[in-house]
Amino acid sequence: MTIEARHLSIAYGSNQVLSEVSLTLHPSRTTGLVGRSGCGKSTLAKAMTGIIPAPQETLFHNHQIFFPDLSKTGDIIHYMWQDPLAALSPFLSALDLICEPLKAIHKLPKAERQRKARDLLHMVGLEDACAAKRPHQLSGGQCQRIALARALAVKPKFLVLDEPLSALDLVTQEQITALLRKVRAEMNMGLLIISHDLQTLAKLADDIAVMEGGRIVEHKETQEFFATPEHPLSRRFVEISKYSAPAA
Amino acid sequence: MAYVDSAKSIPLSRATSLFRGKTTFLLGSLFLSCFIILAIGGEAFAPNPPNQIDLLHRLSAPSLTYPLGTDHLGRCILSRLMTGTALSLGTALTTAGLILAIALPVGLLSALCKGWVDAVLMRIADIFLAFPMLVFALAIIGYLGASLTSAVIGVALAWWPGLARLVRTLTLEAASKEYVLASRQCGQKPLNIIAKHILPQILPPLLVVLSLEMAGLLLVLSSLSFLGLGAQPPAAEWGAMLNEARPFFAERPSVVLAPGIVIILAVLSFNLVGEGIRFQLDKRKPYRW
Amino acid sequence: MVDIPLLQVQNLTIANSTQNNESLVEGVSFSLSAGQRLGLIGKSGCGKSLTCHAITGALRAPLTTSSGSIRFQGQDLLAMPFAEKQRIRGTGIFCIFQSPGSALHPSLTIATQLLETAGNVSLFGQDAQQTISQALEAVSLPQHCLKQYPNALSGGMKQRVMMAMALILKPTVLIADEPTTGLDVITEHETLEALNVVQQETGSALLFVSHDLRIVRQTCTSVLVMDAGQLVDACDLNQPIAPDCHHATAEITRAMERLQL
Repeated sequence: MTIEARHLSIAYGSNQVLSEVSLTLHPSRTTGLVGRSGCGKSTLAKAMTGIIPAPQETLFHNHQIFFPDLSKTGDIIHYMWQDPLAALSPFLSALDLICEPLKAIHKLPKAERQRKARDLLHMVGLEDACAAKRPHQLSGGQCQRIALARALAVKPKFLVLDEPLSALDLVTQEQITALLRKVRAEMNMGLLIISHDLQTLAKLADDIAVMEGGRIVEHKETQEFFATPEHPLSRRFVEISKYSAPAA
Repeated sequence: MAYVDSAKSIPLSRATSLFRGKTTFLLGSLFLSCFIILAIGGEAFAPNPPNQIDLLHRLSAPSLTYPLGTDHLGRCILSRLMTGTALSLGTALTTAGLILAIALPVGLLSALCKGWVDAVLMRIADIFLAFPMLVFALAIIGYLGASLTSAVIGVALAWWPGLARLVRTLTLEAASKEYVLASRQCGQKPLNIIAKHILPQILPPLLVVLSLEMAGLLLVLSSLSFLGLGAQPPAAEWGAMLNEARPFFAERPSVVLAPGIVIILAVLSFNLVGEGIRFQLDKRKPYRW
Repeated sequence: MVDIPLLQVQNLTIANSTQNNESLVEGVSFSLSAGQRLGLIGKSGCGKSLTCHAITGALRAPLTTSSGSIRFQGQDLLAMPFAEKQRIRGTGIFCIFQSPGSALHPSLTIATQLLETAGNVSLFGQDAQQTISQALEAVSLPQHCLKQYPNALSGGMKQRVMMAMALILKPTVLIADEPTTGLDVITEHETLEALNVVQQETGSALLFVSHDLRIVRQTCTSVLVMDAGQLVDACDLNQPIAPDCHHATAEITRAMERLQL
């Protein structure tokens, strides 16, 4: 079972954001997507999840043409926004936010829904005290955990995380990375993680794709990528990720 | 980014914010609650029956029996003003409700359905907007016949397109929020999304606008009554009272001034409350990390 | 020469005057001498940016410095008349803020904005043009940027325009408040290099604020750690971090080590 983008091109006016991008996501495999800002990483992710419409006959689910319609295919491929605060409704409490997909997709009765939501809260490392709070009363890291718990409540076959760490401070980044590793190990879910930070991807991804100017310029197994980066941009990324490592 | 001279600017800014926020709101609410109390129990508080004619005391000066004097038929002005509160404010509220009942679904539909639905609804709104509002209301009243009901219907029909456009704009913005998309992704049904995510976003600004429009509605309805197209005599309605008193302005100005001032006060209180709500809702975070 | 610190912050306390004077930053004291590069790190919400805002005088209304002093070259900034502060701004203390998008005027070209900056240090005509093009070169921005409006530039480029401004103004104290937040690693690297160039050319003292120890150690030699509104630790980055350090320091270093390759 796969989700596949074949020769996906998207343009806004004369601005070609994606040109002929092909990318396949496999179940229980984590793909990392690296690139400089504005290279089209987010656009690719949004097109594959149906947040923005993709041209016809470019997306395939199990080799069948796939029309990602947000309200119907959220449990197949699910997108998680970069800014967790903006992607969580300010009118709902943390618990209600997690209950929403449990009710709408899994049709669980109320008591079971609440129990499941609490389990998920614990799983992402939040205390019960957070359950009644609304997003703006929580820190960025806590919001990111709630967004993750919500995505896990949907239990999609593929989860796309757009820069899940870049809005967070270093300590929280490390905690969320650990959490993502745990999720990857426990849930049978295909992940696409967008980042510009190779150090995080090295910890999470099975394979890494590099994007530049709306194209995927290199796509390799993580180990191989770090050993022999070919494209100049890949080499630059690997070089910098080593540079910021301590001298010792 | 300026060097804010904190020692001086804080008390000043606090004073202005207090004045702009709480005081206006409190003042407005105080006036408005007075009007609401009058609307509920106006007749009970009134010193005289509103339609009791006392031809011996026509156009009399304020006295103990008639605190604001009497009109050309010797009816107590204060009593009529108090009794009229319910009718005047009631019609304004009904009209506002009617406008909201038309504008909200139209705005929501056209923003959420997009495509041809949006085009058709908005062109209809444009056609309505193309006529001068009052002229259009007058035409409808002319068709339905002069009565308070037709005044309400006429004004509502002439007034909804502006608000519908506002609802549409607010909804478009509200529906494109990331958390609304996220909620759709979580499988939420359209009606639930409207109820849980869109209405909470658009209602506060809408209520503010509506409370400000209330003042305008009150004026228009009063003007229609003044023209003799709204409430019909002997009904005690502020605009109608103004109309009836018109010929006697030179003889006793208070006959005209009293309902005029009451209308101004009511308009003012709606404006103050609207402004107060707007200020309370428009709380930008004072600082960000 | 006696070593008088350029910038001396003593017992700085920032409070929210609307919420019963609840302190958000409490008793922060540090000093910065000429040519020093000092890092200020801490988790988000610990009061790093507020401290910067207090130094630059950019605190917004309900927040006030309720006690303490900020001395710049011996003069207390908090007690200084407005005109005097105005003079220090720019050439004395210059701050590169977190979001470069809002620090540049959206409807003026970069050239106009840089010329205005040059005017502040009495550089006009040919001289100004020359200084500007040198500054752009130093932060490795192409010259054609001058004709563009801020919206045509990427975040990293805008941040480097801010640094070019710093090069023109040659401030005695340069504050960089999370200058690389939201930039990709390559841009981040280029921005930090530009910052190094600025610091070397102007010889200004640098206060570098960030949550990321990995970035701070590329620019700074010593670092202060903030936690919940207070300074809790000071470390020399050339030496391994002491085992008896504050738990906030330990937490940040641990996080950095775990994220490392």
